[in-house]
Amino acid sequence: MNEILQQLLNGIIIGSSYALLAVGLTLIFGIMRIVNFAHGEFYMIGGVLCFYLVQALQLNYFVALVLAVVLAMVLGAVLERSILRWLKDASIDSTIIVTIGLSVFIQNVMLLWMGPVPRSIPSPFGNTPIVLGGLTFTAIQIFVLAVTALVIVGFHVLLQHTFLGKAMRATFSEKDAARLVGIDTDRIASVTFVLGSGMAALAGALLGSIYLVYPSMGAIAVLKAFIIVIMGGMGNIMGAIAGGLLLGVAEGFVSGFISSDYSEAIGFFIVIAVLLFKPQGLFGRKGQV
Amino acid sequence: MRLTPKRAFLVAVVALAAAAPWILPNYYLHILTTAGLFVMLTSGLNLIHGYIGRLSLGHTAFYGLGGYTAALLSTKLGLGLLLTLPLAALTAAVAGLVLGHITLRFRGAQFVLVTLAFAAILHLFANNLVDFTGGPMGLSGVASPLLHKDLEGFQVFGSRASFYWLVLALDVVTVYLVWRIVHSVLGDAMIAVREDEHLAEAIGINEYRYSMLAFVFGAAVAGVAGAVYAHYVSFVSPEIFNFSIMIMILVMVILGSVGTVVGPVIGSILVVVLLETLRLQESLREPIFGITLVAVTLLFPQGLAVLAGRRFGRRRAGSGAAAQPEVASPATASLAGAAPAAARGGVLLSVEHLTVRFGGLIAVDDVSFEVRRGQIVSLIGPNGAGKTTTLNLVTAFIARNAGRIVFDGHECPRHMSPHQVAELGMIRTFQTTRGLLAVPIGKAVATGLHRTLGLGWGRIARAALLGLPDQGLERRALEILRQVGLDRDPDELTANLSYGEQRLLEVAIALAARPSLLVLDEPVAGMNMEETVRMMALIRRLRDSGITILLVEHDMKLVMGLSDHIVVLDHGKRIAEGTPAEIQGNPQVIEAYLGRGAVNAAA
Repeated sequence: MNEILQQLLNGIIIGSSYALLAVGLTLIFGIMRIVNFAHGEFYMIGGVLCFYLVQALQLNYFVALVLAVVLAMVLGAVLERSILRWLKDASIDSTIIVTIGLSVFIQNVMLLWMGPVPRSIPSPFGNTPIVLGGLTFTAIQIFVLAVTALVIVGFHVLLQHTFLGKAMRATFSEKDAARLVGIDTDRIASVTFVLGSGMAALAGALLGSIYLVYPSMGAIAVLKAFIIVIMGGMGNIMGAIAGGLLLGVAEGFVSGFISSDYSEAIGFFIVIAVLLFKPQGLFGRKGQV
Repeated sequence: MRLTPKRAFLVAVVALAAAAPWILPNYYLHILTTAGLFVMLTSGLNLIHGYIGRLSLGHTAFYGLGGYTAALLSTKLGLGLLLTLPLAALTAAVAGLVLGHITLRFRGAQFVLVTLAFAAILHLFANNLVDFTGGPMGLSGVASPLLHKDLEGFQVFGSRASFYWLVLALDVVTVYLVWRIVHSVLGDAMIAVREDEHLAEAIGINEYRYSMLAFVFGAAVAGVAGAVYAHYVSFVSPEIFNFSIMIMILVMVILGSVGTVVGPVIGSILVVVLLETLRLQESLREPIFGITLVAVTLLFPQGLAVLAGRRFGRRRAGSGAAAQPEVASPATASLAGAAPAAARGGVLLSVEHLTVRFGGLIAVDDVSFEVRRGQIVSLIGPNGAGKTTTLNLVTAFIARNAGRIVFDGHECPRHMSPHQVAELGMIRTFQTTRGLLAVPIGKAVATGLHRTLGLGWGRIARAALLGLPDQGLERRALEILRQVGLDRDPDELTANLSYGEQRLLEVAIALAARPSLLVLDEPVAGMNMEETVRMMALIRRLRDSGITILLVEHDMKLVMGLSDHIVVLDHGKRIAEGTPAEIQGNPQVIEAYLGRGAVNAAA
């Protein structure tokens, strides 16, 4: 029983970061109609930058965390302006090819720069495990859970209760109509991409603080993010949050009770089941012709 | 077979390639063999991406599957190449069938993700099932039976020649088959699926079948390529599933020109040769591939073959005068597509208690009506009355919740594909101009003839292997274009037509599919007066030639002027039906359109 609770806890902690990653991705798809396969590279950049800022520049962990996310957002803004804006009316497949090209480029440039060896971000809390009611966890895990929860709630407030959020939702559901009532949808697209990239970078920096950071970490992360987004329904934010937690927990159980070799595979089987039986996603509505 | 300059050129190229072992040293043969393997991979991927419009990023899965199948059969069972190659093709084809069944109903992100993840999963299993696959170390000692280095007479060529010839032969077969497929009615059907799957289904093209055909073909060819590779290097490891190989194939296809037969060949050879001559550091390759994908997609998405072809074409322009279309004899001037007007007046379509709910909303509520043969029946009603939804239900684009539909004596079950409905002779058009926009109009109408060609599996196989005899598709298409009054050059692209002409083209495509019931969704919406009059005359002519017509329309002049029978819907319910005169005087109808006040005023 304890073992089950332990895996559940681990799953929720990882899953919260997955949720953060997937919310950014689903937002970019919903508002920009770009299937962003470069999303994982922002995740990687967040983690790697955080590592370098702490290790090389000897910055305080919390400062480094914020700075890494901000720098990734700046990169997101540059990419959006220089390349992704060209994809405004492109076919979905073109957006996939271009973002895959970007992803391959960024990942390999990073590989040239830092090499393939995984690094670990020094934890600001030390590594002493905390035992509570039979469950073992570390302070950094709790920190990760708290930050992701805070950011997701904050984002929800932004979306529901601010003017910017309203404009984003309008663009999301009816782009042309949004433009007609005077919303600058290009600007909304920029903001969306920067915000989404920031969420990915934060997820990377946080999970990188529990695990390791390395140049190819984004490749598997983006697959997981897509599994979650499809599971939750493309463009469905609540679905992405629920899907992220679900995938985290499922992976936790597989690696805890079957084999960690196959924990990465479970998402694939889940997504196939979803596509077979509920193709609009677990929380999606049925489309119309 | 006539020897045209083009064919002579191709024969010369193949002959020259076959002579390479006499000319080139082993090192170059190795490079060409590698390029040849990529030609197999890219030709298959191109058929999938370029013709059915699915971006598969799991093509290496089939390559690796073929490689492992051959390696296992060779090392564990000692089977030779003659058996491992077909078995590898079979394994890959079966995997393609399963994966295709799951993914082909999707496009975009879902399709890409599942294909990508499929390759990733195979990579994972290859790495972890150590007893079976040798794990990360892979399987070595795969027999290389064609390395006749000791065989007398072959020494001049060295050990590479036999594999080179094998790959060359497989390339020729692959490219021939792709060429056959895309230049046959199968290719037309695939392009229709790529351009607009709803339109394709509406004219009776089974989207699933043609998508699957392309997908499984690509998978099988990739499986063979993987098997040859395993025998060639006598080794296979999980790296065969690597995403970097996938990226390379994608670069080759996109650089070469997606959706052309020759593009992938050019792309494969170009990339392999460039990589060898530039002798790039391994670590620089992938960043360059990445940036190439971005640059080609944004700057010249047509790719090299199309760019080169355009240059070449411009130089040639004017030399080949377009063949004048044969003038149809007056005897065939009646509407070619018309089904025999048998049993005029009998019930062709009967709809009973049709109901559909979207969430809590009942969009169509217990609607019943009949369409009699040889009549024009109109569905009218205010906005949101459920007219188009009714059409979608009848043509099986939406599954109904309840009710019964009988068409031409056939009971239509609840879950039927639109192409099955089309197969029965009910062909529809759409409200928004849909399109085979990238297709010349003659070709578009010829695509509409698909249903009339009787394409069973036997004929499909013949079309792919040998080609079908000319069935005069172009001539028939021209005739139909003339009949609807669309006098344009059949080579004109659909995208260049005016709006009114595009709507006429849609009717022409539908007519080509030989409807017994033609279903028109707002045929004159957005048309000017002159175009409307023309369309009205056409619809009347079609009815007089024996085609029954069911239409949804807002234009009351058209509805009242044309219809034999009118069904009025409001809020998803049928509120009236009758002749135009009866409908015009019906107070319930006036109320639905104009509100209660209007009825009182009229009274």
